Amino acid sequence: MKRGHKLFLIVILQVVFLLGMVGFKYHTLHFGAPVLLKTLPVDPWDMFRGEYVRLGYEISSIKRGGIEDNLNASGQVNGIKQEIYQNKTLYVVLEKRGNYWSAVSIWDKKPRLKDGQVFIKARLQYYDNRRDEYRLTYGIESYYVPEGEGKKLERQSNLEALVRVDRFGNAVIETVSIIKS
Amino acid sequence: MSRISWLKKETEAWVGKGIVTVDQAGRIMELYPEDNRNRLISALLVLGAILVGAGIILFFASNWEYIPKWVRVGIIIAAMVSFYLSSHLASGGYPKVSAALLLLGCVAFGSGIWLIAQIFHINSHFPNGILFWLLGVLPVAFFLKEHLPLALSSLLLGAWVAVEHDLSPFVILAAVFLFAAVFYLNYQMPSPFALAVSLISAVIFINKEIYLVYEQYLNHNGGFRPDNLLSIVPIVTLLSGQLLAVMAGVSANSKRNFTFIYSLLGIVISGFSLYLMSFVEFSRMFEKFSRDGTYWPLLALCAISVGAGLYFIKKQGDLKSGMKDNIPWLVTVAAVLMVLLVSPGKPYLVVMLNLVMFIWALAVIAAGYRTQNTFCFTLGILAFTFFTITEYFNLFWEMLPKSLFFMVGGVVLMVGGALLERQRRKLVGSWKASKGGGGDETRA
Repeated sequence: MKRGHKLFLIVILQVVFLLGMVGFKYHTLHFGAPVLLKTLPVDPWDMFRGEYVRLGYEISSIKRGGIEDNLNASGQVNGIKQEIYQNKTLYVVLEKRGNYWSAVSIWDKKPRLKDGQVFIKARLQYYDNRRDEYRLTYGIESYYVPEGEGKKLERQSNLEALVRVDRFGNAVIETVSIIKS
Repeated sequence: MSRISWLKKETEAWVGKGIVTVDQAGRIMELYPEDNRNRLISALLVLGAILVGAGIILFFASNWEYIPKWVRVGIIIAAMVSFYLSSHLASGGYPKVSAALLLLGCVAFGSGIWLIAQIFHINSHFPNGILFWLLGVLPVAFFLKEHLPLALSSLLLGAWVAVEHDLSPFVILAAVFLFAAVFYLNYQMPSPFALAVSLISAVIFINKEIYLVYEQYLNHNGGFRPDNLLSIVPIVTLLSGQLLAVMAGVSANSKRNFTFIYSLLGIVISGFSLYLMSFVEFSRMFEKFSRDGTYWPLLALCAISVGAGLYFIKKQGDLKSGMKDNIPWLVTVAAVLMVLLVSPGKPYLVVMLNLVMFIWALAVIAAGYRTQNTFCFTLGILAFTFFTITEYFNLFWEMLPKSLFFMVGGVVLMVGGALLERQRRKLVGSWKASKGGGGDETRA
């Protein structure tokens, strides 16, 4: 194959990849169920993507006793063997309670949903033995903002995030806004 | 197209057709050294490409709300395609410009990934972004046999293994496979600059994986203190650095003119690790770390590195004379064994480590002297001087009045420097004379 043809093929593949990445996220954003989450902001700056607000959610730390716990290794008296779940996909079922969505159960396989529920993919960061809490991330912990806007959001303690969750459990942030009191 | 560029293109084609081997192609190219003007043009073009690339990344990072998201994605894809297209058009008459534009295309691809990640708020810790970028750039290096995309791939591989904290077999296998691909290309093309970046990436990878495995092991055994575990990093880096120095003489490297890269990185990495190990903080951390007796995996690592070192020395010919040429390696292994077996928990660990640092620098000088390698000899002297200055600061900063401290230090440095320079010139001059003037080894 000629050099030009090889380059042409590579360029096409790279463009398809970029568009695929857009398509994948756009699918979640367009077809996903809207889920409103209570948010707790932090700050900083990312070399490649500029200013962002780091977000924590109420569902980022889940008390073991507060929800239905379906993880296999969780029956132990002193916390869980967290390395079993480290870097594995977990599923958290959410249900709307009042304005916001809250966690109702946690699973290590895809859960069956009742009406009015969605599940969202999660990763176990660590298990807090002292507080008996799961510390989870959902891939929606960074919100990128135009330069200079980060500080404004950062100062707010009352934020809410509208997140779209598709049927595979993938989540994308649609907007983050200040809660009107 | 310049004469050299033409010859380079032709020899690559001959290798592709199996007319000559990579070694023979390298030897043909050595007959026609590039002049400095050509190198300057290459350097300027690459620097320009890096600056433009950084500008593109920062432009999109600033997240302007004036340009709609989809337009931004469109702009970056259009820019990427135009860079590749212009690179293709320039490849006939302007090969260096073409190479710089190709690098820009690769950077624009990465910028596209980060832009999309920004638009959809993908988490800031996004190692897969670097992996995707790498998987897009590596084929450019592989299929077009281009040096700059290969160097970028090596850099991205290093960055990916540094930020990816996942220890799953899939990730480790993927990293090993990617390293194999990058090193294969480094030796196939051959590309000294990309090789240097790949070797640094490999040392990062080895450190990271050993650290993570160790962390898991300690987690299981309940004696977990993450900050003390950091003390294994200089030890592992030292062992890897010294292996690189030993590998410098392997024929696969000397045939491709890689000896210089291996020696340089080997000595710099080892010297830096020994320097870190000479601080009191290291000794304190290591003492705490070794109190549980959890340092036996390090002994296993040391044994593996001894085995590998002996294998590489044996490969270069006679084991006995090979050992003499690699005294710094022997000193290092002895030092690490001493740290692991003799000293844990003893207050004199820090003193011993400082001594080892100086013995190592002397060993490098001695090895340079024995093999009449000016480069190794000079690096040894540099390391020795640097270590001495640090020790001077550590010992006398508190004890002497500041004015006296600087004056004495300055005089010692100037006199010492002049004496060393005189000795070095004398020796290098005598080596040159005995070799009949110059050669590759005598670049001072």
